[in-house]
Amino acid sequence: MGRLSLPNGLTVYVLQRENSQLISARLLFPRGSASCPPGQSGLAELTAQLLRRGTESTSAEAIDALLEDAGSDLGVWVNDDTTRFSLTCEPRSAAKLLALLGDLLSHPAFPKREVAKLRERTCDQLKGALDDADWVANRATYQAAFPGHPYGVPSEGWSRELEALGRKEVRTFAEGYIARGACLVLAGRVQDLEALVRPFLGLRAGAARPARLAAPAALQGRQVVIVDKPDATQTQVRLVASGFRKDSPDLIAALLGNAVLGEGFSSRLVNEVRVNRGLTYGISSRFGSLAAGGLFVVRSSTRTEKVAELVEVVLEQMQRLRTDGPEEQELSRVRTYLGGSFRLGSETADQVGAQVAEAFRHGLGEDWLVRYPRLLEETPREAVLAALEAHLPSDRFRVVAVGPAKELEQQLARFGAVQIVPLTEIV
Amino acid sequence: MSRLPSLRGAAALKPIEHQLPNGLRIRLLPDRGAKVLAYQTFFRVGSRNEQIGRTGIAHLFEHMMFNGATRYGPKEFDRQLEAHGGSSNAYTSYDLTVYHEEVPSEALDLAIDLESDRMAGLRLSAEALQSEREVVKEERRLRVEDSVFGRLDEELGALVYQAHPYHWPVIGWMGDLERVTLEDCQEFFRRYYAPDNATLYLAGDFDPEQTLDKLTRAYGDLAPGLAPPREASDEPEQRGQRRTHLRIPAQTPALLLGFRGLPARDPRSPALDLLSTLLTTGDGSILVRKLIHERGLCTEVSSDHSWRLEPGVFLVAAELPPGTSPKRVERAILDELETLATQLVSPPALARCKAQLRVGLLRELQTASGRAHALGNAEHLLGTIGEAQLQLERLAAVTRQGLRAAAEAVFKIERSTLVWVDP
Repeated sequence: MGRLSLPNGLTVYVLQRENSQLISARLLFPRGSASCPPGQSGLAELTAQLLRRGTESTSAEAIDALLEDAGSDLGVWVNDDTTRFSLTCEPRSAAKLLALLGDLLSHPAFPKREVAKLRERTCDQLKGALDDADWVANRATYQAAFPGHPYGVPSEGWSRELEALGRKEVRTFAEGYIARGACLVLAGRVQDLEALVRPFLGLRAGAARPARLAAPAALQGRQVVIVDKPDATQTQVRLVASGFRKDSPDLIAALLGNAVLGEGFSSRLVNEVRVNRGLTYGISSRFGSLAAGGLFVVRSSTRTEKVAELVEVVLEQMQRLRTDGPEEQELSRVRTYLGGSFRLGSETADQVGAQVAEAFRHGLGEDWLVRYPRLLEETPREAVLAALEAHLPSDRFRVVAVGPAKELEQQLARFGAVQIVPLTEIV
Repeated sequence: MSRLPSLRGAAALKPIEHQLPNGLRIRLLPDRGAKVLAYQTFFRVGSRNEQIGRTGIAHLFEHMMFNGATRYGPKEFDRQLEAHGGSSNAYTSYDLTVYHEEVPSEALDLAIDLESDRMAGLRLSAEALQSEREVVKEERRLRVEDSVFGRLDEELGALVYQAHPYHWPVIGWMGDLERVTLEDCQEFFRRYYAPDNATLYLAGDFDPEQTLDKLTRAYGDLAPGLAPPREASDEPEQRGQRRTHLRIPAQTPALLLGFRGLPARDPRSPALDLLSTLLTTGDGSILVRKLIHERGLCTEVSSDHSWRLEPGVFLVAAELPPGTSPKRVERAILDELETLATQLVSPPALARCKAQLRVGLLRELQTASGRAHALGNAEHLLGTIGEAQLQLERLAAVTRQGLRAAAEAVFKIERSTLVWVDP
């Protein structure tokens, strides 16, 4: 892997694969929805999506044609901490498309009409998304995990705040797409590197990295949040607690412990909840890490009359794992499983590129891709036990349920004080 | 078969083909690049092989395949695979059931052992059936009962097909799931899960000679199965539009418009793939640009021409802003489809959708799993395994006239079905 720094501070990683027929580019800025000013939720997503709707010299239609004539498209992802742009194309089109991406970032026009149209469409989409209980549950989970913190504000925004956003706010937010702290990962058959990175020399260097977001407060006590969806035949269930940043020393130990609990098809949760009891189609758990904090989430769904039973089984399994720890055989299995998943996820240059970008985002170091599999093997059982003790919740969590409140309220009261949220208040 | 220059190197799809005396077909596509491999087993059975009253058994049975066999007992399949760094899953379609494992290359022997074990002798129990039945019912609640498009899709399928088994959903009707018995499962296994009804596709890092030898030893002694029963009846020709306004809870209007399509192996099928791309792939595609960006009539629009053995459905799905009339959107979509059926698209528009499909295909073929699956799909749905290698050629050969002819053949109002919700 090659690495260079442009004069403006942009870090460029190059993963050369001569036999690849494609090249992918990922551009990552450490500026996501948590960077939206108070009262302007959804601005990060709106800005990123609007970039391709016209520059000072190129119309939105011409941008579409440039991308699609090359068989490509521009991927845009916004999460709490980052905004990522990506595209994949044949090597012969790469210089042209990266020049376009550079132009989008350096000279966006943000036509008023396009801002208004996308804002309106986003509000309409939010309303439509209320039909998707899984989406509603994920949104409510972040609100429950990070109350009063920017991480709790949904990246798609609140409808009432979106409606007030205009071109001025969008332009201001886009000024934060600066070279310092950002990275570009090129993976595949990379030809004429100089031509590929030239368009990004125009990015403003910007100030030093912005101050790190304050850490979210750890959740205390138990509570239940029910988002009322009276027509649902099934309830989406989440159990959520506070987690840790990805640079935590507990990271690998916690990932191993969590894999025993809820990753893959032979985890304890799948065994107990799906295989032995037939309560769900799917169940998993994970530690999610962000720049300033993290969360632990168990995700599942079941028929409404069985929600309390499902939560009980989950809590019991978590308690057992925290108390007794994983068996040696289980630990050995998840070490190989996570290592194998990592290898399977590194098959193509594009996949390795994604991992490089992820390591950069979390400041894990350039040798992370080499260290990670080794750490999976070397982390001792005692460290796993300690990490589970520290991070697997016992009495500080939220149960989030999206289903008919009338049938859920009494069932779930045993897990904490119940708050019922009308569905429409989620957006 | 000529080697297509644009599918060179790792993406060349020219496997070693072999058949065991018991009928099992084996396709090997070695590539000593990344130290991983894909192992896929295609069974020629899907929901089209089901009977009324037992719908959903093909998919339910797919779940049963993970509940233990002779050498590896209950819960062992995934436990063993994950303990060796691999993962597995499966899917059932109208026409096929496919089991796939992705593993580090040193786990090849284990994958062979696990897969041949369950083909040789599945352990079927009443307890496992009852548990999986509940799991599948949960899956149905998730994907159909509580999903607006799940409901629309199920309703549309039931309207488009009146005689053919494509009439019912792959997951089956909820009531039928209750009726499936252990005996049904045993019979299903005997009939459809035999070596002469299966094909193995291996792609990735392995030695082909040694692997073929191992596969022969593992599967060679299995006996062929019962001949599959007579297959589905023909669907009578549709002679008028079918419409249903679905009364289900929904926040915003939505519609699904389907046209009786063509079998995947029809020579016009690549033109339908291109038409779908032309209509809804990317912001510059016809329906996205006109219905979303220019007229604000939709918040999302997509299309699909899924390959099937027998004539499938060309679908257009649209999500509408609150208060928008589905009728108006239907009209707008039909107008665009009519234009495609009567006028030639511009040369740049055709070149653009060809480029989009080409890059999409190259992406898919980057992984061993993508290559194995492309081979399986080509052999089963397009008719010959050689079609996998020829896909780009077939797409490149489509002319503007060919595109218009395919649109004219399929986009006919009397061959269409519309289902919609309008809260």
